[in-house]
Amino acid sequence: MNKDLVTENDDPITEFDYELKVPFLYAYAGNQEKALMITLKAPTVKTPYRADLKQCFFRAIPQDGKEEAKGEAGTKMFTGSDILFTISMSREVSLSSFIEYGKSLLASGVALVDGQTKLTKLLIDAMDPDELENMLGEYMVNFILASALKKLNEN
Amino acid sequence: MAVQLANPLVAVNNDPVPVTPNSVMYTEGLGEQTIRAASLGGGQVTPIYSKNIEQNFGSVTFEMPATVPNIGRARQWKANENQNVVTVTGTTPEGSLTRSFTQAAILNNYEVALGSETNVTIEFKSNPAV
Repeated sequence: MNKDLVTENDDPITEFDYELKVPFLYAYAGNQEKALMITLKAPTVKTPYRADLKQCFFRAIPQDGKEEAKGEAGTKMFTGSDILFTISMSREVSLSSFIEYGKSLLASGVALVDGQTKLTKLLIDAMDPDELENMLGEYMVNFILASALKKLNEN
Repeated sequence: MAVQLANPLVAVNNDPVPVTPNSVMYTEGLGEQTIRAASLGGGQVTPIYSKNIEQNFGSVTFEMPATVPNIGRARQWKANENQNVVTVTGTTPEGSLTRSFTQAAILNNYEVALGSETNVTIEFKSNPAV
């Protein structure tokens, strides 16, 4: 995963691979394979619940923490675990709603199992729950949160 | 009180399929066996058990309503030849059932009946269930 969020040519990254710690079985080419990683692609305007996930995070962070989030390397201050921790601790945002939005987003076509098969809701339900949350957090850091904080820094 | 498994989830290639209730059937693919008698003389016989592996393949049969997405699904499964995977799962208070059928193919020239309450009958033949 590219922590710098840009390639060597300063182009924003368009996808990254998330390695699974707990593999699951999925169907591919007539056989059942063990999933080892999931390729996550950048969202588009049509990607559902992108805005809802962004709003979940910004509602979750404390008011006095928003300035800290704009810091010099704002996106690098947060990891996927930080995102999940912030949302879990918040009284303003429901973690279960955040996860439901995330599941719908991931099942919309932005995620490919082993880079070859679309991640469907059925496969998401077969994932380890902690794995799913970590993956959502990394997706937020690499794509959804990165764009929002970039706009804040520009302003 | 025992509970019958009456509402299984059928998924083909990682996608759940909307099936007509009470239409799902499958065979395990354990094949057929025979027993015949061999004489030991003096009126005594001993049974000879044998396996006929010619029938050792699994199958899954179900009906689905003749909607446009379902008709499209059937066409795609047929086009995939034997590159499909069918899974049948179900849960009751007594436990759960999961069967996977790899290298599944639709062999017959299935019919699509177009009408008000018509179904498409799908039959997959596959490797024995796992």
